[in-house]
Amino acid sequence: MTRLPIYCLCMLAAFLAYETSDGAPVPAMVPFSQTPITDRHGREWNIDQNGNVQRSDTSPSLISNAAVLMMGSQQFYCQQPAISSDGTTLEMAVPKPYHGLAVTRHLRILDKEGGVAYADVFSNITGREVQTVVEFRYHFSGKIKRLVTSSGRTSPTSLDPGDEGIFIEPAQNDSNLPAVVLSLTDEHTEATPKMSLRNGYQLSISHTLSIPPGGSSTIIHAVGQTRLDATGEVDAFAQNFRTWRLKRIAQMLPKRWTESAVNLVVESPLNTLKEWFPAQHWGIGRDASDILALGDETRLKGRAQISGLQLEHALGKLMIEWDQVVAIAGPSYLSTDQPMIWLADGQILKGTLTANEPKFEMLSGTSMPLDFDKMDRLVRGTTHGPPEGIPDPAPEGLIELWSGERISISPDMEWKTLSRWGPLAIPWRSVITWVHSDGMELAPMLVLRDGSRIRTIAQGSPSPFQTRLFGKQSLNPAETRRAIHPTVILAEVGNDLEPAESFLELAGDQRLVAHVTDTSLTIATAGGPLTISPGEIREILDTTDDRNDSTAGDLRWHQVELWGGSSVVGQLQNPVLTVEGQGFSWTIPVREIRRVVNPVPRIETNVVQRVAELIQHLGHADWKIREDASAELAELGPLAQASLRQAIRQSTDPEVIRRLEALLSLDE
Amino acid sequence: MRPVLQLAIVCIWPLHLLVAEPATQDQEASEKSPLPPVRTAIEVSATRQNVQLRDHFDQLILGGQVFDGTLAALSNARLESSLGGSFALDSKNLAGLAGGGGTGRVHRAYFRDGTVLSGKLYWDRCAFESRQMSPLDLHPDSLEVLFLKNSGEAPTIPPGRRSLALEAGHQVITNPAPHATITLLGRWGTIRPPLEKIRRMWQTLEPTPQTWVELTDGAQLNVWTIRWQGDVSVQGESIPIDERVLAAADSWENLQKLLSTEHHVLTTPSDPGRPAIQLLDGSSIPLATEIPGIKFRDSPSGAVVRGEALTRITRVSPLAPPTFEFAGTGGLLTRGQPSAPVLKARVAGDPLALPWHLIQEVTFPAPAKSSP
Repeated sequence: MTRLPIYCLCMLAAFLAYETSDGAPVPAMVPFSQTPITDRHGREWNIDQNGNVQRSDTSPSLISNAAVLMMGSQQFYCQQPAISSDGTTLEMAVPKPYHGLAVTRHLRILDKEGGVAYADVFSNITGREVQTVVEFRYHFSGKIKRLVTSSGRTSPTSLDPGDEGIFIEPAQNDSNLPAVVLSLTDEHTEATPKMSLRNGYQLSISHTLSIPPGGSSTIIHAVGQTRLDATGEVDAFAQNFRTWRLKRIAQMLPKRWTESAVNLVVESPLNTLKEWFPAQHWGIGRDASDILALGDETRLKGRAQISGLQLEHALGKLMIEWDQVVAIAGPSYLSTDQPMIWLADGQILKGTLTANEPKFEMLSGTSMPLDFDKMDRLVRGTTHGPPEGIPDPAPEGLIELWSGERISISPDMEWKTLSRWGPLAIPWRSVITWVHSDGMELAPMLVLRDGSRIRTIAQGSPSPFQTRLFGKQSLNPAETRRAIHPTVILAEVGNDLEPAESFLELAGDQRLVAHVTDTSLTIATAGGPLTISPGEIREILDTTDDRNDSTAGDLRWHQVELWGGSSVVGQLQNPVLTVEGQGFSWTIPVREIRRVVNPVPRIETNVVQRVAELIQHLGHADWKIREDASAELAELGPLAQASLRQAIRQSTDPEVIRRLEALLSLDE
Repeated sequence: MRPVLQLAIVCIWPLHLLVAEPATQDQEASEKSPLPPVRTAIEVSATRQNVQLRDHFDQLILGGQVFDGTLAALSNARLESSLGGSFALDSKNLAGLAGGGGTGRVHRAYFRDGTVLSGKLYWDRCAFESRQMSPLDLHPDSLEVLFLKNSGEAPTIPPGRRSLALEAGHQVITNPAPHATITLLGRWGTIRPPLEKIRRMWQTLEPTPQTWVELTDGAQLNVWTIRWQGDVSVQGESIPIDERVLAAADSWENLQKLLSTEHHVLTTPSDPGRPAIQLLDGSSIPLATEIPGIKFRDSPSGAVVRGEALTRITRVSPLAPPTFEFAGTGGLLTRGQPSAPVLKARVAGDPLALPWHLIQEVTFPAPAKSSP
């Protein structure tokens, strides 16, 4: 049986790639015959036609048969699996639906981590809701020493909320084998999968799914092999599992695989908007009538009659048009000292509410007075507020405070925040969102319209905020939980293409649209130091992790691609890079920089002059000079593109035009 | 003349010495062996480059070769520091010099007290004499590295003082002014502890760049930015600086460990049973003050949990506003949202108002047993 390292398969990609509608290249799928794939750790992944990881003949492993998908007593079966031309992705589908479910398995080889990620999609093709239990079985070839959860809990008999995965340690006599690690769920999902271990050899993980008619549910999971810290300390497991966190693995998968994931909380600014109105988490579906909830079970339908509604808020007093109100919740329901009111423009405000003899009239005709300080919940009918739970028209900016309030802010204000490299004041119109990470262990992320993602904290003394209802106010930035720009989110969420301008990718999933302003960069190469101008650089990629060079000290390894086709491998000697972007100029330590990209060449003056000279030569009387000029222009590639396009518009010589067209077609 | 061995590693003090010769087995073995005790930055650099400092002669690196000899002249030498200010250089106080190496790299001066400053070197004359070649006049832009002979004395850091590495070019300050101000800014607020109350600080890169500070009272803080404002004193000259700090420790050896991947060797694991406030960002703050009574949002009538009755406060809901479970003596167990936005604490003597939304858990001292 032929064994292909993954890089061999990658070589096919260039021939078989096609493009999606958004222009992103996607490798073509070709029929897959069972062929072991070797990751960069040298471990073999022997995947069968059903997506199961089978025992390898040559790589010692605990795995005998892993990730076997069972639906009831029936095992997932695929007749014709497919593999992407770059060898990284496999796809398998059941030939006929199982109990109304079309099932597709997507697999991605985690070459760097040493594992396989799965996105198993269950699509309900019936007209009714389908409830089912799906199970994944893992069979192990050697005696297992013990199981340890991702948090370091040993020998668990079940998974607890927050357990994201499991390590399977080999027995002492097989201690040369790597441990197996399973990524099972995201710590923030509500449902925890069930686990059982049989005979010490077979582990079973099962999920219960409820899939609405026409809907899909996806389970994301992964199986990997890893070397564990010999100390066996609890912290070492948690540390090792960072690589295997489902949230991290999901970032390596196409978004369309993870959109319907049931065991992964996808952090999206749009989610913050969907949870805007209380109907969903109050458990009260909206109706044509107003609904007054009293406790968990009583729902009164009717019409609230309220006039002269006034809110006494900490920031000032307001008269509120009843037509603008979507819902009100009282202190007893919210466990707060004051009621809160939801407005149709997306704001949530807390304060003392008063009105002229407010009352609720049931459809049956009975009328009862309303006391805002004692009431439970009141949800207005769908004739008020947006039907889909998204404000219409959406406000241009909202901040949410830790008190739960959401206050509309003026789009003309500046958003002031602090990155690790310096302060940042950015026009609100440029902001998409500023949001805390799950668990809040990391600093909040500021997402900008230009494609930047910067971790910043709200710090400092109270600063002025321009609110729409209360005018200019002073708010302590530390009280801000998140901020969103709904109109921008609606237009741009999910559109996370790489910026067309120069940008840097930084540790912590950050991206900064900015360009390097240093006059020169020095790269230590095997052949000696090389000094280059940032304008020459097409891309710098930090390759330290790939080299696995533990002796590299604090200097990192880089691969530098230059405009014109040259490539340099070495260590960037500049300890920091100075970068300039919208509203900032920062010095950033090189060890925090993962990638620098200049999508458009910045062409040096001497190059522009040389290109102009060569274009002149295209019309030279001497054929040899014309040929040489064509050849040199072809070598210059993108550096000559702009000048070539300009020349073709101005030229009248048929041969020059022909040569220019030929050169331009080379880079298309 | 000896060849300098090829470096697969490049030290934390980037001296950029590159020689196109393959690594030898001996060298690989030495790289894996623990570093000998180091005293100054130049010793670290020399060790990493497999150059052993000598007691009786200086060594010049030139074109990948090591030349033994003597620094015969160093007149009117100074370093225009990138931190600002100009420092006169006296060979008696110098452990080594690194020039531009012909590549335009930044120049460095290594002092015998462990200080490392970068900037631009100037001198009227710098001459090196060796039996292996003609006397050489060295130029700052072309000088690779000059190791000066051992002084025989290790620099010592006075008790309570700290050695700092700055983020700007990993420059090292071993003699900061005692009244220097360290500003620690985090999501929990801002404090300015005196230098002697900082046991150590270091940075980690994954999953995102973070700076950690351990204080002498046991607090471990996740810090967003650290600025050091104070004077640096070198050879009696001092300049005020205002820079971001990369690492700090009470000795040179510890500073080096904190700058490497060995930082975990030095960090003190937090004691889970110790009374402390645990924050969501991983910070741990010893509970040094009594917690006053805690009033709840849903108790406008004034119901209060007494601080002395509490044994543990645990966050149970991440939503806004967060909900906590309060456990205490006498079977006390209740849930609620504190009405005050912050919990007041003290860190290194500084008052700190910790927002409740950052708090994961508060562990109180075990209640004293009542006498029979």
